[in-house]
Amino acid sequence: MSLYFVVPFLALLAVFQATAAPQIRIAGGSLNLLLLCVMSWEQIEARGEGYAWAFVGGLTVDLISGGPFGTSALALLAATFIANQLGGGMFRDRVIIPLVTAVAGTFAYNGVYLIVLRLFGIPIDLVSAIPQVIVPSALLNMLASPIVARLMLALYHRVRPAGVSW
Amino acid sequence: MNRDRSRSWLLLVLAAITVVLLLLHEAGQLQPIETVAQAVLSPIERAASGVFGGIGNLFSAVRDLNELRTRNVELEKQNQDLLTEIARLRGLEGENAALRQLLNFTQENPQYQYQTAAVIGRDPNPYLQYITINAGSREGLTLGMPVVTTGSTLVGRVSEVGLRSSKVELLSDLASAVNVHLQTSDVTGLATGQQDGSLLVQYLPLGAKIADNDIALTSGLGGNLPRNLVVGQVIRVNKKDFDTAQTAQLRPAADYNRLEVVLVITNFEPIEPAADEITPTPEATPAVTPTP
Repeated sequence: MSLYFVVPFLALLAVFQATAAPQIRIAGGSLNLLLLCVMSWEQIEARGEGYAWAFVGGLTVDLISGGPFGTSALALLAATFIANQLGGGMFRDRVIIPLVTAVAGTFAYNGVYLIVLRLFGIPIDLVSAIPQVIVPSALLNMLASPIVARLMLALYHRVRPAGVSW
Repeated sequence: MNRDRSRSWLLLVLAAITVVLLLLHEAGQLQPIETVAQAVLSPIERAASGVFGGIGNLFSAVRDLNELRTRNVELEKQNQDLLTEIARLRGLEGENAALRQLLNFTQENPQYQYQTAAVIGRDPNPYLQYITINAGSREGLTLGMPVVTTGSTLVGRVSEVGLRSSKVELLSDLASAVNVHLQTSDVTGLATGQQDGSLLVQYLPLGAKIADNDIALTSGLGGNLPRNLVVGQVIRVNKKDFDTAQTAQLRPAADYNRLEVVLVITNFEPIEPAADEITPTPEATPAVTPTP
């Protein structure tokens, strides 16, 4: 997909994460639309383009975030790798794919993010983060994942004739 | 097979670049690039903040369904035009009250110079407690400046400064540490951010009697923050006989999720860089009575 579309699209998703998503936090978890879009794209497109999306989108989030620069990008790359693996596996062409991917991807994203934060000396409690943040976030992402997957599929059908320019 | 291999290479290369960026960031080498990028992103963030501003109110209303139902019945009795007008006036009234309280604060503390700033974003990651405000180096902001809100309440400190926007590390962030003085109990300690959004005051002398609902104020120890700014209120004291010090859990005085406008104290001169705040030990934190 064209860079002229992808970069603003991912920037808008990152801005959404900084403005709207924190306001709709439920039980400590929040919806990660950027994560869902990147993972869905990787599964639909299945040519590694999702990694580039994860890299660009993650760095944009890092610009907005107060955390170490690159943390979100690394976490998104890990989640996209999981999406890539699940998308081509035994669940291929099943409705369950987005649901499983959302949960696994959320755990991968948060796991890598927390590990990097710990490496940078932020005293975060990994064990309590699971029930307080990761599980609620995984549930929220799982609920939203079928809708996001549909939307990304529609986007794919719309832009695919234009070809790939990565 | 070749496609799989190239995909793996892409992942590895991008991950390697990201790690390099992480290290460069820690070394401070990326600051110019980040400043430029933030200058591009902050207007978008500001615009989006306005668009999404009402979402928080919507969700808080949904949470209390009973209240919403009762209110809905009452609202249906009223004329729609009048309702719209009331809603508009209430919005203005709330904003006005917040600004008036901020004005009161500035009048009560004329020794400081202030820069008013609107909150335009919050950290996208739930583990980090930062807000983005629409004032930066152009408005005279520098690293470590204290950020306050209504009621002389300390919100946090400026942690990153862009051209037109800045990031503020909230007191509830896990990396935040502020020296506080418990007003009634007359002891000092170190308030650090907790994962659940509360604050924990550590290094309180074991023999001290900590009063319930005691108010924690900034102690001024370390010279990084002005004295007597409100930090929070004691909600629980944790005291174990085998510990060398006791701790107290604080409820932050400000609701960080509802911050809309803040004041940055621009003329406070810290004695030391904010990052090097002294961690007090029980021996190093004698009780200090705050001066008005």
